Parts: sequence; C-alpha cells; structure tokens
Amino acid sequence: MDKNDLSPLRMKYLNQKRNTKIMIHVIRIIILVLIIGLWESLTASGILNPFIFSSPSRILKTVGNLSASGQLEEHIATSLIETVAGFILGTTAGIVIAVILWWNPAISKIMDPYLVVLNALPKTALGPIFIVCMGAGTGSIIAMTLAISLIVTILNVLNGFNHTDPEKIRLMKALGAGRLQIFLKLVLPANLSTMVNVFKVNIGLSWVGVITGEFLVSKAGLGYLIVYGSQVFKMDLVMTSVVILALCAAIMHIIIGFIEKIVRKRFGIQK
Amino acid sequence: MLKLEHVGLIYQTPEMEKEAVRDICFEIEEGEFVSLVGPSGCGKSTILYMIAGLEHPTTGRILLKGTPISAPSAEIGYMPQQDQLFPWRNIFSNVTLGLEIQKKGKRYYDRARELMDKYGVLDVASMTPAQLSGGMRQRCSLIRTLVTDPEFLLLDESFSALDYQTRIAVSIDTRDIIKSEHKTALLVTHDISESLMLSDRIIVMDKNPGKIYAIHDLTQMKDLTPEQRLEHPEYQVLLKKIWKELGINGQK
Repeated sequence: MDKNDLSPLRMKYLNQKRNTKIMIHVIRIIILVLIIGLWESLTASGILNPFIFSSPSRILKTVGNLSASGQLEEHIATSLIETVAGFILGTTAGIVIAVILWWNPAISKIMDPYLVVLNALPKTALGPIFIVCMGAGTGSIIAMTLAISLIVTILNVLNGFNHTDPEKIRLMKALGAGRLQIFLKLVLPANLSTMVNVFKVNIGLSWVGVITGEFLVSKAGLGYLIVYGSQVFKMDLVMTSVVILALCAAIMHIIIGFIEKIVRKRFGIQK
Repeated sequence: MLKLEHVGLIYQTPEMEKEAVRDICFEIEEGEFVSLVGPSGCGKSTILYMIAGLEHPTTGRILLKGTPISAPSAEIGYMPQQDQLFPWRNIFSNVTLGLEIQKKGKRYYDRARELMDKYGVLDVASMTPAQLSGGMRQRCSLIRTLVTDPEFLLLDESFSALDYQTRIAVSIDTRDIIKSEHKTALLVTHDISESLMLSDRIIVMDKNPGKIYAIHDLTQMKDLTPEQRLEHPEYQVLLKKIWKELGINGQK
C-alpha cells in the first residue's frame, strides 16, 4: 500500500510505533556505552583496582596480544567445536530417545523415575567420573555437555510429543493412519516449535557444559583461559575470556533465532 | 446400510467401571441424514467412535453393509469437532491428507481437485488454513472427508465451534454437499434446531448410561429446505417434543 493512502490516524500510530522502537535501541546503546565508560573511568582514576577489575582498554589490549600470537583463535575454536559437538550430540540423542519413549509408552513408564532422578542430579557431579573414564581431554568435556543437555531435551521433547492434540490424533486414526504416519505427519511437525525452543535452551546448556568441563580438565579453550588467568592472577585474561564468551554465546543465539524464523515461516507456526 | 445391534460399551479405568452406552439399536438406510442428539455425557460421541472403528463395543455389534466393523476403514469418513486442519500444510495437502495416508493413486487426487473446484476452494488451494475464514475451513474439512470417497460420513459436532451465523450457513452447506454427493451421514449434535433443520431422522439419547430415548422420523419435512422447515408445523411439534424428552422444561 502506498504511504500516501494511509489515514492520518494510522500514520500517527505507525510513527509512534517506530519512534518507540528507535528509543528502545538508543537506550540500549546508551546503557552499554555507560557501562563501558564507567568501567574505564573508574579503573583509570584508581577508584576500582584495574588489576582486579581489569578495564575495557586492558581487555582490548589483551585481545590484541592474544590475537597476534594466534592463541585467541585457537582457544575460541576449541570451545566452539566442543560446544557445537556437545549441542548436536545432546540434541540429537535427546530427540531420538524421546521418539523411542513416545513410541513405546511402556518403556516410557519404566524409565520415568530414572529420568526424574537424573534430571534432578547436578550433572557437574559426574565430571570426575567422566575424567576417570575418558581421560582429561575433549572426550570428557563433550560428555559433560551431553550430560547437561540430554535429560532436559528428552523430557521437553517427550512432553511436547505427549501433548499433541488428541482430536488431531483421532482424525489421523480415523483416516487409517498407523503409528509411523501419525508420528511423521502429525506429531513431528506439530512439535517443531517445541524443538526450536529446545535448541535455544540447549545452546546455553552446551556452553555451561563446555566451560565447566574446561574448568576441570582442559589445556585449551575459553574456560581454560578463565581458570588459567585466575590461577596466575591475570584478571585481564579472565575478563577478556568472559567478554569473548558472551559474544560467542550471543552469536550462536542469533543463529538459532534465524533458524527459528525459517522454520516458523516454512511450517506456518505462530508464536 | 449401517446397523447397530444391542451395542453397549463399558469403559474400565483404575478408579471405576463406567457404562458409557447400553443396548443401542438403530439402522441407517443408504442416503439418509440422521442426527444423534442428547446432553453431553450421553455417549453420542462414543457411538460415533465405535462406528468409526476407534472404539470397540463390549456387547452387541455394528454392521456396515452386513460386515462387522473392527477397525477404521476407507468406507467411513470422519469429520471432527472443529476443522482440525494442520497449520503447517496448505489447503490442498490438508484436503488430500487421507489420500496420502491411504496411499491412493492419481485418480483420487484428480477427484480431490474436482471437488475443490466444485465447492469453491480450489482458488485457495495453496493458502494456509490461518488465511481462511472459519466457514471456509469447515468446508475444506468436509472435502477432506469426501476425497477418500467414503460411503458413510460421521460428523462429530462438526459445527459447534463456529459462531451462530457461520454455524447455520456451514451446517446447511454441509448438508447440501453431502446430499449432492449421495452420501449417508450421521451427525452428532446437542443442538436440537440444527438436527431439525438438517436431518431425515433424529435419534434422541438419554444419559447414565447412554441409551436411546426416542427416534423421530421427519416424515413431512424430509424434502424441504432448512429454511422451509423453520416455518413448517412439524418443526415446532418436534422441537417441543424433543425439548420434553431431553428434560429441558423440567417435566420429563
């Protein structure tokens, strides 16, 4: 529709909407600038000890140094690969197990108490067991990530499957559909939205698993940098790693958000 | 065409045993449009599910053209409460869902297109259900039931979710389509006027346990349109009678 065709009232409404949106963005940026500015000035003036709290300028310098020696890329890559591997494994295995449990309600009933207990258990407690079994390396870290995301995935996806509209299931049955057809043509597409939500949660959980794992064992990665930095009291290194970690997690979240958009559009799912 | 012989169903749950329906006997002839009316909980939907092969009677039997029904079959079409179109499928693939499930050939898809064209939904074939009005969606739901070419249609309170005006228009529309396709149909409803406007025969049910209370043949109004029926004396007579039977005026 041509802009000129809009009524004055509509124009006013749209302008207001747009201004609010711009305002929100501006305030967000101001907050960020304020935090960075305050941090820098407080540490530069000596009110906060830069040795403990680091500072934006020191972080930038650290990034420069790490990058120049090629270490930055290596550590980021290590953590990223572990996170993605853990995410894919945890999500895939979780969904596959959820499908098996949905398919066979008897197994689901039998497994129920085990799932509840495993879900309640703080998975970090399993860390030492993984290290003994798989050695102090990538294997243990990925196992840690898997442990953290697997049970939540199973429970959420299974819950979604079990809550598929019974009226639609009845329609499928009346049309003569078997269990496989009901699953492929109804349960799975009806739960894409649940699964995208699980992806979102899992990407966060995978980072938790990787960082915890790296705290315990690793020789490389952002978690390793944080622990190493704190041990040798290089707080610049710790802060730098935390900031980079935040950026990586944010970028992954954006990617998942993008995938979500495509899935929702393709399958006509409303929020 | 369809015959229920002393059909009863008792549900078992860990807490209790519940007799849903008892000693249901009726017959539906080919081409008839029959309504099953009664209060909620009288087991009318249960009867529908048994005919659809989704539930199995504990006593008696249900025969379709002389053969007992034991599982869902292509000869019986089921039109659910609300349209139940899948939002991730476009209208065409929603309408042809049954053909996909029953792995029907090209001939059926051509027929689906013909039916969609005949009843004015071919133009919206590539749209999603969310883009259609409630009435249009219900029409698509009916066509989805028709494309597998069942001889007998089960309508499970198919109009109850619609607003009053749409509901009347859609129910009349549905009846006309069913009649012009020469199908036999059983409609479950709690709306007496809906059953009086649409049916050839009305079965009134009572609850605890669900059983048949009365069967009314609409002898004089059979060939009238729903609008003409509203003005026919038989309409008022039967309306009052069924009101009484359902205990609406408290003097059952």
